[in-house]
Amino acid sequence: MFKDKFKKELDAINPSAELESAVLDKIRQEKERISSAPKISYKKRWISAIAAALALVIVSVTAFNLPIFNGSEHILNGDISTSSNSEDLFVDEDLTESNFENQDQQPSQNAPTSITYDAAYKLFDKIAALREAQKDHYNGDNTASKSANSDDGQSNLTDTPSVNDTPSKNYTETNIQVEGVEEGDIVKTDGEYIYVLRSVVNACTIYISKATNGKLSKTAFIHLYHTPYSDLYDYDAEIKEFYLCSNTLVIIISAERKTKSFEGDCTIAMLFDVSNPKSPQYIKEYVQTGNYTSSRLIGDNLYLFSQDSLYGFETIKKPDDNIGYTYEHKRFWQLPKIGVDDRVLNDIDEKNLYAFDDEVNLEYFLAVSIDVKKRKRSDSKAIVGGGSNVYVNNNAIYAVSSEINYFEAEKEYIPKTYIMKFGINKGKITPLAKTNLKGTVLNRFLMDEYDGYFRIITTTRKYRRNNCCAFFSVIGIDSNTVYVLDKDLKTVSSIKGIAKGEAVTSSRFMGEIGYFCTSPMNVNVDPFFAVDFSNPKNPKILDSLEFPGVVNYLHPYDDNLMLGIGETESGKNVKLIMFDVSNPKKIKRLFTLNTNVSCAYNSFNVSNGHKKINILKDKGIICFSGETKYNIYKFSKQKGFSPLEKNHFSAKTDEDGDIYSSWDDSIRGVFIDDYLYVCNAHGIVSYMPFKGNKKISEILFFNYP
Amino acid sequence: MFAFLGVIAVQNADEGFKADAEEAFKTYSGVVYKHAYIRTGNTADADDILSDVFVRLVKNIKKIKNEVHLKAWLIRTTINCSNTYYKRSKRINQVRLTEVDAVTTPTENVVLPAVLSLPIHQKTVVYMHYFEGYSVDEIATLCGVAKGTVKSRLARARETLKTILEGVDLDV
Repeated sequence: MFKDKFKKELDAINPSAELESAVLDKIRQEKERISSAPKISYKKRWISAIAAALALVIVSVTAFNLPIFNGSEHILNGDISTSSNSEDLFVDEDLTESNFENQDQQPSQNAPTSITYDAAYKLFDKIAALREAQKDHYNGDNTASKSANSDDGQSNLTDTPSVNDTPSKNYTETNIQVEGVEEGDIVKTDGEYIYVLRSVVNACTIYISKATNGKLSKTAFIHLYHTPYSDLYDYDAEIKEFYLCSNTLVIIISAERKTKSFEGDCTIAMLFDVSNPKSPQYIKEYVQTGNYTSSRLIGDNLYLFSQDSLYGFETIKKPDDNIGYTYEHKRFWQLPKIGVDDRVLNDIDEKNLYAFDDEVNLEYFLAVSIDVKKRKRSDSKAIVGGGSNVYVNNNAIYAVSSEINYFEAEKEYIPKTYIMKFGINKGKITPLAKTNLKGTVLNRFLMDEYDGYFRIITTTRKYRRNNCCAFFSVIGIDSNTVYVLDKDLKTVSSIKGIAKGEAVTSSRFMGEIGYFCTSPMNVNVDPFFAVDFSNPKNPKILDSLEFPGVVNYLHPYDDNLMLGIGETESGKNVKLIMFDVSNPKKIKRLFTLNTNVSCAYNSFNVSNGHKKINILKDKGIICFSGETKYNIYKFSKQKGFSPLEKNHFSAKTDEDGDIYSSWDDSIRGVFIDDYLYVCNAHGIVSYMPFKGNKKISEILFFNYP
Repeated sequence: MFAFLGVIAVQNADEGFKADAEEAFKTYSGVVYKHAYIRTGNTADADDILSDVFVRLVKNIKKIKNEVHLKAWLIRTTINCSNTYYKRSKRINQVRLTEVDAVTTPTENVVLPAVLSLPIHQKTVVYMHYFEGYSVDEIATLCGVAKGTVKSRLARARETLKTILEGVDLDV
């Protein structure tokens, strides 16, 4: 009976004819693309399918984060007209007294207020009501007032772009954006041991292998499901990345955690003592709710960011005379929670909960700092508002999120970018200011802080809702804008209407000068711009240079040279370009090399794309990962780019041809002395790259150790 | 799971069998769509997953050994796609939709909403057992879990369904 009913009811659920024809079209396109693509190992193609699918659904992503409530009532009804309680402004004494040596971290008038739980609930109700009533509320003009603030912004901020070569160390480190701000990755080394993450659903493991002069030996491994609290995780818990700091391995995990008191997405920092890498010892784990956004390590302080929606849903069964039962989704507010090693997660302390009075996002952003050496959580701050893209330097965190208004998107719609600023000082986090700008930001390299001024480049894309499915399509690119914001995130100046019809593909700031590339949709021609920010109130475009191809990543090679890595004009291969920026008023293209490395599976401008690149100036080489190989090119100022005699180094492939092997099949290369170790989720292979590409040694992670 | 697919592939490798993604779509689009719908609970996500799964199939088409393997592959990939879709889409979060209209089931349905209200593992098991007619053994290999787990999930699902659907004649 049940079976029949179930079959009958489910039989009515079928894809619409519209969708079917759309998918069939896609299948045909995909077939065509594959038959015309260069021949590459068949095993790995499915990974790109995920990438392609992800790229497609990227716009529709947060259907999940969003309310699906028709006619539902709020469980926690507050007085909608009451504004939030703002009496306890900065009640955290620690912050007001001792931690503001830095002039820049004084809270501005724009700063958020710490609020009580009651006030928070009222605020949430207010935002919800606001969104219901005024769906076009935040589609107006940029609210950031254009004030010519006479504040000189004196500060000691002199963050320089990082150049990834440390002569004192004999091994390579992860390619990072800001010097002194470490970023996590899937491969790390301490010069003696190599740590590799294999992130497979159900089997997330970090493998530790000893590397001595090219010889590899199995040492130990850490399996996520062998840790003490793994019974609380959902089956598809994932290790996202990890850090190596003061003999401690910091593993960042994203998982659904299920306890009696809480059920939902959590971000976890798990600490392992690896002073003896042969037997890693579990120390403890720090749990915070929300989806993992990003993390950074400054000195011994780990900053871990997560975000989630402020409400959850509860399904309630209601009797109905006609059809037996109906189901109703009821919304309830959930505050951000944190916990240590414990099965109980507690709501974040009232004094650490902040909100801006005019907040419109029903999301929270949770920033937690953990002292890895002292093994304690130093600070945690939650703020109402979203942050999906994070830029961090030594003094501040900028959390950026963008949003499409679903209702407005029936016509053309240009999303906005919301920016929140936090000051950081030795583990203390202070919410400082927020603003919003028109357009969206591609990645963290489009943001920079220098001399107290925050520079950001946004692209205004027009979106429209797709009628057949619930996602948006980009219908056109308008133009790009460079903004300069002061320490209170007030717009000081801006250059509007740069490169009409083109989108920024990469950017890098070198002190007072910012460089960026733009590219029109579907055409691989890329103008390169230099902008002078020496007078923050009046930034000027100094020069622009057009060249064939697209640059997806810019790296300052030295003070006079800027390296660009991207795609050739045809969009098939990776291209290397060296610009001469010694005179920003007259940029020159010095050298270009179209490599034979396919870029079909390489995107250097996605969130972790820059970690695939290693630039070793002392060795004069530029290295980047391809789909199955690690590639090395020589560079000299006289001769330009040239491939090494043997320049492609294969990574370990899965002998079984297992199609479900891993999600992230990225390759990383690690240099220890003159030996190259090519690591991926399957194993490590070692080479002596300057003496041919003959394998020295290899290990497979299967049956380890 | 891998073993299961491998065993089928080796034991029943049909000589001359050549899977075609378009043909597969015509035959199995309903299966994938229904499964995706059961797992996600709304048609909008099922739309996306349907397209994801078949794009993946195009890329892996040479590995498909026979019809049974094709169906198993599609079911497994639907599980994977819905997992990653759900997890990753929440995290990437670059552009958020503000509101989404709830694409709910037709109101005259009784059993379907009850199944949809189950936890995700139980839904899958119920779907595979009652709709696709897979045995406990087959579900265990397809989901990559032990037989006992499938049985307990099925038992719990039945228990919940019995309480939810009280008054409706049930022979679960």
